[in-house]
Amino acid sequence: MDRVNLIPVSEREARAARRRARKWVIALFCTFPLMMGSFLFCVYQAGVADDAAAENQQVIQSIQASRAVLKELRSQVRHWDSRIRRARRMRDKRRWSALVTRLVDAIPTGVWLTSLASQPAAPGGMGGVRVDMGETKDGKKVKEFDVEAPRGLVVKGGCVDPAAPLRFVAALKQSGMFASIGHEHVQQSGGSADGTFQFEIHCNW
Amino acid sequence: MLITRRSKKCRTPIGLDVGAKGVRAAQLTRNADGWTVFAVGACERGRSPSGDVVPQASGQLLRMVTTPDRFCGRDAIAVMSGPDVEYFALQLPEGVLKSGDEKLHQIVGAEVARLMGSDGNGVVSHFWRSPAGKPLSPNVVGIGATPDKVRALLASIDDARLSCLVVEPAALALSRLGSLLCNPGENELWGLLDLGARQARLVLCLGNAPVLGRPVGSGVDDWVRRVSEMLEVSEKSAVVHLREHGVAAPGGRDAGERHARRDSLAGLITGALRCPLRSMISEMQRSVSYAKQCYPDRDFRRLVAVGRGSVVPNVSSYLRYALGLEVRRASDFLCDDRCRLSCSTACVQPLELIALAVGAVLST
Repeated sequence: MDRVNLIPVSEREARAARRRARKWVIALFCTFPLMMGSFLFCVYQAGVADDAAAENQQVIQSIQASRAVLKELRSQVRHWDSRIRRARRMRDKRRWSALVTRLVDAIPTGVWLTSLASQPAAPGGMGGVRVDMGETKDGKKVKEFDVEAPRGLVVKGGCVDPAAPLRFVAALKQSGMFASIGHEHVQQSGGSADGTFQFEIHCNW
Repeated sequence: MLITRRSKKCRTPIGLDVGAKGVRAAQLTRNADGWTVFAVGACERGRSPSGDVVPQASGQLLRMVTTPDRFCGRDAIAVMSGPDVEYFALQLPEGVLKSGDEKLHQIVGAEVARLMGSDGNGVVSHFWRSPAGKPLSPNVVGIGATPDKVRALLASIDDARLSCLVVEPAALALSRLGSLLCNPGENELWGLLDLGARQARLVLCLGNAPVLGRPVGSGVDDWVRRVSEMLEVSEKSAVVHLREHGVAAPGGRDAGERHARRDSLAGLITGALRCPLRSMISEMQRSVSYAKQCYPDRDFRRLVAVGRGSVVPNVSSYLRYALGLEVRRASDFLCDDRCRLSCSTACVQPLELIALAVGAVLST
């Protein structure tokens, strides 16, 4: 047999509504602490996250400061490096006046010079050492050329005595100006009836 | 305590029987074998030393009875018994029966209100269809109660901070309990006799469905008054005599019944109760005869006795002798192997006294 309920319908509905309301109140009472707990936990987590973010920010700032210092140091290093290289280049520049003086002192009697040329003819700017200096702020590659002075010297001249070039080479060697005297070449002037000779000497200094 | 902490699915709401003499509550759990009564509470309305009934609100009594250490949850199902609720076996035309339940409810409500001498708004009514019997026999059982009584009952339950889900007529609760106790066949006609404080009520059932509910006599209060007058003792003493000596069993065969017959006090009590008992028996015979007329091909053999009066010694054997039926107290069935109801050790009240409260929460 099904149940028979003698509670009047209106009363039944009112009681059901009251029961529902009570359930809602209980549910709210139960969920409120839960929500509060969740909220507090979120707040706590947000605080922790903020602390962590602040800490990270500090680390980032310190890293940025270090980078700035490093950049400054790098630019100084580059500056000093360029100055050192410039100084080195300056050091490597040939002392032409001293060379000419020694050369003139070494020329024996009966010898004259017709040509004095460096080898290569120009400083080694185009074919010298290329240095990569990294990037600038705007991303452009910086390249520097290490300029090197010519180290070879080609001396051409004439003489009456064919042995004179030998004396000239000996005098040059004796001057101590040159690291080596690589090549010497003596020949009689073609078609000349005056009996002179042409010579060519290759030196390194 | 372990049992009381059972899951909500297994345990029933609290069954409440708010009677004239006191309140009774019971709560059951469902298990594989049937049902177990795991919590019981009962409280009589107090009496002053002079014997007058002290008005004590039912709500307070219920609150005393349904303490959380014994009962689980706050949901309750209450039973409303006679004379607060009346039953009417109605014979409605087939055309009306075929109309929808809502319309049928309106028709039955109007008829019940007419029979109760009230207008339609002054009665809370309900109905259930009774099994088909002989042509022109009742086919609907209508029930009616006054809304004030229902509201008073609900108010007392609310006072006890319980939530009343259903107020059910006693006949249904009793038929459910009786079905569980004696497992009647689908076409078996059987009955329940509720010997309450104010009234004795007979419920006749076919299978599991109650087909007739009828008051059949005065209640135990009247018995006590008669015994008190006969023995010239106070009603309190009369209650004790009634409980200890009971009535003399006519034609009893066993030693206990012979002892009761020898008991001269039981004879005096029987003499005092002869009139109401005879009146009750004749009324019951009329009702049974009417039920047999409505369902002529069904036998009527069994009667289950519950209520305060059923625990009076030898009342069931007196009725058995007078009616020629198998009359057993509800608690007698608990020993049967087929019975699917058991009582835990916490259940200190006889099943007869808590029958309504137990029946209220049983479900099929």
